[in-house]
Amino acid sequence: MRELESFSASSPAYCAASVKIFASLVFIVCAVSFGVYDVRVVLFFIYPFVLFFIVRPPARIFFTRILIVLPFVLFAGISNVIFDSSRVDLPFGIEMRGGVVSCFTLVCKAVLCVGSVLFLVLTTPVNAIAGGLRRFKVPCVLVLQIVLTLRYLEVMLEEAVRMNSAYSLRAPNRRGVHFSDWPKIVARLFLRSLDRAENIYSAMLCRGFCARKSMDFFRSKETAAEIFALAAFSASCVFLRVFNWQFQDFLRW
Amino acid sequence: MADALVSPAVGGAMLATSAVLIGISARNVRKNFDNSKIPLMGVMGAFVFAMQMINFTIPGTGSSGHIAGGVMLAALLGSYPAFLVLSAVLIIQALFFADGGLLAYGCNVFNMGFWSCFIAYPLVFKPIAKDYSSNGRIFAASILAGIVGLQLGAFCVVLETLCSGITELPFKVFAGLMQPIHLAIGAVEGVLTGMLIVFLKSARPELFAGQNAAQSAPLKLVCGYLLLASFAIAGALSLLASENPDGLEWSIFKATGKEELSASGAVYEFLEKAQAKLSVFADYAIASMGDGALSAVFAGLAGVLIVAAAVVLAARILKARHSER
Repeated sequence: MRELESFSASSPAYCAASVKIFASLVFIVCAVSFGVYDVRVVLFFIYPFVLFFIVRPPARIFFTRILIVLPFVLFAGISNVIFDSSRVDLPFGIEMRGGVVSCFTLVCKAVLCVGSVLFLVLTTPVNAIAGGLRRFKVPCVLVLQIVLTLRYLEVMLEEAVRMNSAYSLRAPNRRGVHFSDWPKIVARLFLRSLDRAENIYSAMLCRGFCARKSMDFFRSKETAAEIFALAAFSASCVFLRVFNWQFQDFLRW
Repeated sequence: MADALVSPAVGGAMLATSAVLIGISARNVRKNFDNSKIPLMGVMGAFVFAMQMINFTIPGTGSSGHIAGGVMLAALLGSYPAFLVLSAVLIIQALFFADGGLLAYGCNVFNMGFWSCFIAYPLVFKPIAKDYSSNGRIFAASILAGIVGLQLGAFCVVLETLCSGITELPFKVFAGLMQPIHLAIGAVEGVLTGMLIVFLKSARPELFAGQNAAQSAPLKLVCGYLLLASFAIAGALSLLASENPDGLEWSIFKATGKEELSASGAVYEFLEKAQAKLSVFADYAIASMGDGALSAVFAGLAGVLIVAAAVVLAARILKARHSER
C-alpha cells in the first residue's frame, strides 16, 4: 500500500482522476466484452504496453499484483480446458481445442483488467481518487468511508506491530504468537485500534473537519483537452473492439 | 469475483443494482446515523478488510472463498452503515489489492453485502439474537445468519458466472463446489462474529446501547430490495437465459427422445386449451411483441409485478383474517 501511495504521490497526474476512472471502465468493458474464443483480445495489450513506458511503474509491484489474480483465473480456465472439447479455428489456419483458447482469452482479460486498475492507482493518489469518485456523484459518506478505512488500516497495522513487539519482549523464547493467545490479542488489537481511531476522529473534528468539504476539496474539474483525450481513447477502444480485425491484415501491412 | 469472470451485461446490471442500494444506504445513513460511530465504521472496515485477506482459491470456479463480514458489521452498526462499510472495503480491495475489479464491483457488493446486511441480519440474526442478552442466542444467530448470508451470496456467484458464459463448468458441479465450501466458511464466520459481539458486549457495552433502535432495514424495505433484485434479474439477466432445454426437459429428452411429454384424454385437452387461452406470456414473451429481446424483458417484468401483486394480496387477506380472529 505504502509503495503504491508513494509512487502515485511522486508520479505526474497526467489528467483528472475522474477521466482516468472513466477511461479504466471503458477499457475494462471493451476488453471483457470479447467472446471466449475471440483471440483479438490480445490487441488490447497495446494500451498497457504503451502506458508501461510512459508511467514506468516499479516492475515488482506491477507483476506481483498480476500474479495475485492469476491463480483464480487459471483455475476457472482449467475447468474450460477439461469441459470444452470443441475445435476452434484460429488465425493462420490453426485449429485448437476450444477450452485452451477460452482459457487463454480469460487470462488475457484478467491481466488487462488488473493492469488498467493498477495504472489508475499508480498515477492517482488516494485523495484524488476520492475526489474523482465524488465527481461521479458517489455519496460523500461512502467516499469518506473509503478514505478512513485506508487510514485506519494503517492505524491497525501500527498497533499490530506494537503489540507484536510487546509480545516478543514478554515471551522472548517463543517463535510467533501462540495459538491460545490469538483471540485475546485480536480482541485487544480491535479495542486499541478503536480507541486510537476515536481519538484521531475527535482531533479531526476539533480542527474543523467537514466530510463534504474535505472530500470535495480534491474534486478536480476536467479540462476540454482532457475530455477530448478521453473521447479519443474511448473511441479507439470501441473501434478496436467492434472492427472485425483479422490478424492476416496486420501481416499484409 | 474478478472482472474477467463477468460479462459487461451481467457486470453492468449488478453495478446498477448495487449503485441504487448504495444510494439508498447513503441517504439513510445521512439522515439517521450517529456521527460518533464513524470511527467504529472505519475500524470495522479495516478489521473486515484484514479478515477478507485470508482467502483461498476454490478450484475450477475462478472465485475465492473468504469471510464476508456482512453480518458482523450489521450486528454492530445496523444494515445501512454495514452495507456502506462493506462497499468501501470492496472498492479498496478492487483498486489497491487487485482483488475483485471495477466491473465486477457491483456483483461483489451485491453477493457479500446485500444478502448479509439486508436479508440475513434483519430476517435471521435479529429475531434470534433479540436484545443481545444471551450469549447462546448471539452465537446461534451469528452462525445461522453467517451461513444464510454466505450461501445466498455464493449461489449468486454461481448464477452470475454462468450467466456471463465465461466458464464451461456445469451448473451442478459449480454449485457443488461453491455451496459446501461456503457452508463451512459461513459457520466459521458465524463463530468469529459471535466471539466479537460477546467480547465487545463485555468490554464496550456502550456500543450496544440502543441497539434495538439501530438502523436495520425494516421488513417493507427488505421486500422492496428483493423486488428490485427481481426486476434486475427478470429485466436484464433474462436476456442471457439459455435457449437450451432446462435440466428437467433435458432429462426427459434423454429418457424419451422428446422434450415434453404428451398425454391424451378429455381432462388433459380441456386443461391444455384453458392454458393456451390463459397464457398471456407464453414462452416468456408477449404475443403482440413477437419473440424479440424487448418482449422477453417486458414479459419478465410483468411476471415479477404479477407475482408481487399476488403475494401482497394474499398477505393482506391473511392479515385481515388474522385480525378478525
